[in-house]
Amino acid sequence: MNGSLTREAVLERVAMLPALPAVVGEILGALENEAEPIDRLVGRINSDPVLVARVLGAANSASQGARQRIGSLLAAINLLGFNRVRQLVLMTALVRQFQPVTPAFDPTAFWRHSFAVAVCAGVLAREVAVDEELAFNAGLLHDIGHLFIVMAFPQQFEAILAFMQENDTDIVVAERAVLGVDHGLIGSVMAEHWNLPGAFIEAIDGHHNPDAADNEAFSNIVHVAEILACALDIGTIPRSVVPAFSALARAHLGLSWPAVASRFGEIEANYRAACIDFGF
Amino acid sequence: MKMRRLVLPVQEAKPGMRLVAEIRNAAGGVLLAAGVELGEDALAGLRRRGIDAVSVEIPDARSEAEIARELAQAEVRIQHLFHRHIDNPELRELMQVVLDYRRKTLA
Repeated sequence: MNGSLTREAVLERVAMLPALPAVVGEILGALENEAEPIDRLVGRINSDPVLVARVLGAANSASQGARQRIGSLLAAINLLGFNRVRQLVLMTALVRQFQPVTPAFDPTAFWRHSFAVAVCAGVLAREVAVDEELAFNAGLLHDIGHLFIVMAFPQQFEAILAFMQENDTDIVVAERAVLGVDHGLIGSVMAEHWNLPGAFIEAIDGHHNPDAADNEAFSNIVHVAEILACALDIGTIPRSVVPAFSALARAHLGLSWPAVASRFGEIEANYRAACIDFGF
Repeated sequence: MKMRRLVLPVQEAKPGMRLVAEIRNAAGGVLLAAGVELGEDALAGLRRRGIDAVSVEIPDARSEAEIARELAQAEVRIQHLFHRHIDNPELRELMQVVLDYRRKTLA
């Protein structure tokens, strides 16, 4: 398997990816600016019937027991809140674009892990007073490079899984051995290709290698969030293991484990809330 | 009946449950004080504001044996999750913090 692909060949394949639906870029772009007026968000979602159906579906399953069904986007936003609706749109668009059919890939496990890291990133961001919603969405997107590997290189993906099991090693080590690149770098190239905000590119690139990043807060947050999600056993599978950890990332954020521990209950509840809303 | 403190996802919180910890928004302002009994409107308001977790007290029907079994399972799982990091003092500290948390919340 080794050497069958060059790093350049992998990155060239990324450049052939179709564009993300415009609505995703617009929603993520709006996040970096100020809060978006509600009618603009409604207008954006309304341009895409699949997104409308997804948001209304989530609102109705969240409002079980309410007297009437939620039939309008405005009512759905009113029920779920702005941020959750934006997150639903983002995830739905990604799920639609990436539907890997490799038997070795479990989409439910993938998305649960993504929610777990997103939730941890959101809570950590609040703890260190950086933008919580940006951190949450960076967490939601942090493993998009993994989706790409599964879809574009299904055989190599199976080799990566085998390498991990044989060597009891992190996925990035296996990816570098098999593909020459890891999902962090691939994901950041995807984010760049899609013109996503810089904070996402940094976070995706650096989440397994924060010491090499330019000390960007979001890289550090997503890195620590991933450790924490595994440690709390949320979004994990039976063979999950806490991955390699950078003490520097935690130190840069100025967080201590006992301080973070006071938020563990909230993290677990937020994770379950996200799974309910996203239908997982 | 014995009571148990839990942090629940807001969708699973029921009207009539009593908050055991205050709820703050992202800016640090108190939305609901500890001791407040949750009503339908309060729960809807929390959702709308992006609050997903509420700390409440609920009756605990578990037997001592069940609690002991849950705790033992949690400890085995934590040992597995951290097994690569026995020599890493940072992660050993995190492991201890998670163990303490499980002992506190499962008991």
